[in-house]
Amino acid sequence: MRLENLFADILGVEPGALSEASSPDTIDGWDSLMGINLIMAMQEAYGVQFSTDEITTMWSLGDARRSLAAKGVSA
Amino acid sequence: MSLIEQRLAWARLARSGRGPALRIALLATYTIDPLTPYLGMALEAAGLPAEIRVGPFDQIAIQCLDPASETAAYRPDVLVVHPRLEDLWAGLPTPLAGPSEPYAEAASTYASAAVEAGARWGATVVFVLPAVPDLRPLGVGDAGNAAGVFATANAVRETLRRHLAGRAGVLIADMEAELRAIGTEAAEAPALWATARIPYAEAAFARLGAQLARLIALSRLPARKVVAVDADGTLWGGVVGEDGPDGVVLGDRGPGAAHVAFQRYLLALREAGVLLVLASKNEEADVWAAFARPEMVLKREHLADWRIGWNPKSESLMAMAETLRLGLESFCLIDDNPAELAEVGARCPQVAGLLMPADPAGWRQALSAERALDRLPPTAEDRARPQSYAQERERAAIREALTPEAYLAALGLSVRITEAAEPDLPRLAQLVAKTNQFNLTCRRRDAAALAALVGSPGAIVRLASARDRFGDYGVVGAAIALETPDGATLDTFLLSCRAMGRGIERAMLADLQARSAQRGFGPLVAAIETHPRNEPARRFFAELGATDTPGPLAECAWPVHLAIHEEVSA
Repeated sequence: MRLENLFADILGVEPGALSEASSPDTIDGWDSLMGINLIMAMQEAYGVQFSTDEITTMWSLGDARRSLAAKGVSA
Repeated sequence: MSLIEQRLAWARLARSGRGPALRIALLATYTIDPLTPYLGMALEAAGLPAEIRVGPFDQIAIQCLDPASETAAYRPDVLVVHPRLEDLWAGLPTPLAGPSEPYAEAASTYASAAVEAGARWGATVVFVLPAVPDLRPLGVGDAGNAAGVFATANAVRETLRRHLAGRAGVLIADMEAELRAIGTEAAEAPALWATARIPYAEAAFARLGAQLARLIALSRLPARKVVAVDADGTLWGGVVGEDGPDGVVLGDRGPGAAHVAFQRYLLALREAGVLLVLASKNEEADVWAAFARPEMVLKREHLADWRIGWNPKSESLMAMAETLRLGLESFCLIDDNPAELAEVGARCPQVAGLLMPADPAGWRQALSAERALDRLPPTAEDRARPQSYAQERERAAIREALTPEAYLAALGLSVRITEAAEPDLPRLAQLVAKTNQFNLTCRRRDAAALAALVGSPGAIVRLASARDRFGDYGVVGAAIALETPDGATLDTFLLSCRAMGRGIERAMLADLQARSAQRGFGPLVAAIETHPRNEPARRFFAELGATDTPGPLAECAWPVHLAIHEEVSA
């Protein structure tokens, strides 16, 4: 599953409404709990584990994509 | 469905704005939000669409006790409460040498608060027993410490269980069961705990959600009470028609031992009130010859009924449903043959078909994962049920020899009808949930809702128990009348199917009319309601002049053949 589609499903928005810069500042309903929802969904969907550091520094969709890429996941 | 698919499916459902659903509130000492999709989807699959609201983080007591709290305002039907011992013990030293009581204090406070809130809101409380914390300051030495972490956690868990078990409207779940199933390492999520106070990984939430849904379904939907089994390949290995009664595989080693272990499991189900029946394609004499083998722990007298012959299994099940006077939705069929299950599934879709793996050694594990076999702790009536079906066979023998009037007189039937009180609630709730055929209104209320009626000035709640010369029926009937401005309306009138047609229904109605007059409610008004299987109740009330619009019922007389017994039998 493409990362923007996963984010769109969890956030309840159209994939087209998302960009690499999408973050809690730009998307309604993306609060801290939703952020954790996204982390848990990524861990489940791509079979990865994020460290405490990665979780606390991941802010935007672009950040998430880079963290995944660092784990060898291109999504 | 994979975990991520469940999560996404729930997100779509929750946004779909669908109609009325079960309202569920979650309260925990940690961030319990990730439970929502798994609980929601598991309830959906069980036929109980739900709306789930997560209460504020770590506010169990205040949310339960403050009448102005968000959770109180939400008015949940089900309140799920899950404290973790790690959180409750945060201000205490790790258990090492002291008494266990201080470690139980906060947990007991939360349990009491939840029970109180459930009673006030008319909500079912689901209390999740906390898991044993994975803290081991002594490492492997904790096992040898009677005041250590494991020992203290178990003491607290048992204190909670004793405090809550058997209470009306309270269900007990257990987080430890899920940690055992997947292992603490896979269940914990240290990075999520550090960042968001989420202690568990998705897999643990998924399992807890499934357990809670099974428990909630069990309290709201009728439990299956008949387990039908095949003989060949199930009770023993091999085929008795080909291998002969001495050739089928039974014993205390090898595959035969697995079949004997499965028989022991069936006997444990029977102890808890499950009726065991046999549906086998065989010559009857062959089957009983194999039953005579000394290795058989399941005996013929343990069976409530059997059909042995060459007709399709669906027909055998339908015939036994008729004899036992139970609906097919009460049946599970355990079989190792997918073709048999498919045949039954096509003709009797109400039956839960449980396909067993090829190796009988794996059956017990396969069965413990089956929702169809879940049961709440049995009432005295449940435990006596298998015996009562044996008594029923003796009654049938004299029924065939006598006229209906002489038969009723010969039964020596007596009835005791009393006002329902708090200790009666589990049985009352069970009758209300399960009775289908002789049930005029099929109004399903859970124990909490019934508790609100029992003892209320505007309600009469009567319970009927009966016995005859063959045995005790236990509590078999319930009737509820509610006061209205100009009389009383018949809200609930039900009788267990095994007690129908013996005059007990007349006695119950005569009693209710007398009580209604005595309490000053005035005449009893009833309407016939049509529900899928309640024809016996409709026919009885039609004879008394009831129609499908509410109207007064004719005066009902106590049947002359029925005695009244006062004392409660054991």
